[in-house]
Amino acid sequence: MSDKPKMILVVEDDETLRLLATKQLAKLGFEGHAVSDGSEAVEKAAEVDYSLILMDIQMPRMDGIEATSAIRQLESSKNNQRVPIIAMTANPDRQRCLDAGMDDFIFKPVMLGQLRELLDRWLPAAS
Amino acid sequence: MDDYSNPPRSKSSRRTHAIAESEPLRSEAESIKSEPGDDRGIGELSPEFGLFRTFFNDSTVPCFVKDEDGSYVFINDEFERRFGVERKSFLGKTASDWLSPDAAKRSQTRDINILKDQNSTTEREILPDLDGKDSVWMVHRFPIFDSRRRRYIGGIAFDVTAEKQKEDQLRDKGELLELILNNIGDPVIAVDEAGGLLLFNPAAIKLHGLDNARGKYGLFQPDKVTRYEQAELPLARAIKGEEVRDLELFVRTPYHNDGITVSASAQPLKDKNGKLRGGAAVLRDITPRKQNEEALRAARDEALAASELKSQFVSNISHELRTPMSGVLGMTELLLEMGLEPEQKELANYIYESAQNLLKVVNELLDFSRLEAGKLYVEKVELSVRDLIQNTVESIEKDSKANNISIVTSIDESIPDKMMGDRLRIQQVLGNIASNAIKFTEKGQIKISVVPGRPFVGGLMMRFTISDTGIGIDPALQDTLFQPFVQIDGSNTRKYGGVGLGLSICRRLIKLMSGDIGVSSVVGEGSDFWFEVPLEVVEKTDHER
Repeated sequence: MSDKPKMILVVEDDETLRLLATKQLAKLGFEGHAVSDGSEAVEKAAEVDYSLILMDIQMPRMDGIEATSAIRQLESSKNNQRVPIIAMTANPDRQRCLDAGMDDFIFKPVMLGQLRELLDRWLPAAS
Repeated sequence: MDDYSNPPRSKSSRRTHAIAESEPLRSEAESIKSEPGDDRGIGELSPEFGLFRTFFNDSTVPCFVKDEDGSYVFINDEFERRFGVERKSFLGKTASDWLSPDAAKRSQTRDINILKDQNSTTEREILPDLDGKDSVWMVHRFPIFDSRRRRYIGGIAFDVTAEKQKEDQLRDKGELLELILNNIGDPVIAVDEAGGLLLFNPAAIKLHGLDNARGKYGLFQPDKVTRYEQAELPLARAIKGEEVRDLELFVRTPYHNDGITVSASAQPLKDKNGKLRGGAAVLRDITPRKQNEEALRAARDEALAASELKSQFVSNISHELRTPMSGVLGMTELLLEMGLEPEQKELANYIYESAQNLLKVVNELLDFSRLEAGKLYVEKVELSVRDLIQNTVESIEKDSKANNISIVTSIDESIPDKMMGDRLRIQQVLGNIASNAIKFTEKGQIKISVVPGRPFVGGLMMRFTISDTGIGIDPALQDTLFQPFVQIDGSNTRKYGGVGLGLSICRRLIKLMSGDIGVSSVVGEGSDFWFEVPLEVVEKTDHER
């Protein structure tokens, strides 16, 4: 288990940024799964036991706030462990994110150094 | 002793007759004027007559006696004095000898009527004074008969000039007041203490449209809907002793179907003993002003809405710009770590730097529009002043090395390691000032220092200073430096880039944090930019997030 890379879910509507995030994660030694909106994220989170979720806020169909609430609800109904959900945004509405059940923030543009710092903070054993 | 026993007379036959008839009185008149000791007078006269003579001459009002032809046969000392005549030459003259033809005629008519009706009269007359000035007299005339039933006219004149003037003044004042009230454009209304109308000037009539006001007349509060209670109205309040200033009323009258807005002031009317006698109100039509105000308000609302729309637009654009920017920056960063050929790496570096510059502009625009719209809020998170300074140094290290500029830092030892404040925004301000410092400094050093300032409950002001040895700023331009869009060099060929928002954003951010920011600078020597922000001290027992 320890030699298997930790899985991280990337929720991002922009295709380039999805590709970028998975490449950055790969470079940092993680396995990134990317989906393009909130509702897909909720489905994926229910299926896969992710170590962390990077969540865009502004997305079509279901935004990051709604998706986070849904995931948190699911967790408590199944008594699952609480996965860290990190808001990935340009203009954070900090309180709204925290109220929805998000744990931290990373600001766009997401650069390698910041991402590494964030993952070190939330998943210390990985590095 | 004057000799007036033979006053000059005209030689007419009528006069001659008059002389003969007036002889007995003349002898009396002669005796009246006799001085005590005059052998001729005293022997003839009774003591009562002497008293009568003294009474007449000492009288402080002019007195006269005329015969039935209108010739003066007697005047007293006061008559001489007041009308500037001499008894010697005046006796025997008639009114026409010293009065205007009109006045003389009136005088004659009066004399005739008195003799005919045998009634006394009191009339107002204008008579020429000692110095020729007209004065006003109340002349009391009465018929006199002597023992032989000869008829005379006696007269006593009272000077009423002063009273007349006062009367005239009062009348003029009254007329003036009436003129003012009638012509003034503002309605004036006065009532007695019971509320009964005392005064209602034409402007008030015009405003109220009294003739068919019943049922249509209404006084409303500024909301134009709520009616005033009777007792709340200015006049009602004034007759209770209250002074009302500039109360806005909306008035609907038959003359103003759409209603007008008036400003009403009312005052209790008190007499000189302080007793309340009623109240007076002055109204002023402020409808045009109100309409202007409303137009202005509408224009402002519109402008605000447009501004809000603009802010929203800028915010959307910034977001839309930032998504591709994130792609460019992130991808370039990955590309740079892929072991590129030197030339490829150099080009990729240019892409990276250009993208970063572009991102900075986008960020400034976004910050600015959010500050403008009041949608930027400060946060309170844990921060380390030392980390802030370290990050700032790192952000300019590359440029400073390239230009051979040294960076010096100085952080007061007493500053606590952990404090609370808006870490990102303080970092942003530091970064902005530091990047300006490096941009405008060609040689020398940049010094970043932090000292604690005055304490407040739970924390202390922290003063950050960034000093450079750059080009400096003209004192005249230092004030405009923190205004948006201003650049010291506004020309097209300017040497230094930037959109001119950086320092204005810094100032607004610092103000938002209840801090202050400023600069002192000498051209050619360098600039000291400083800012102060309140930072809270973290309690030692409770410092973990």
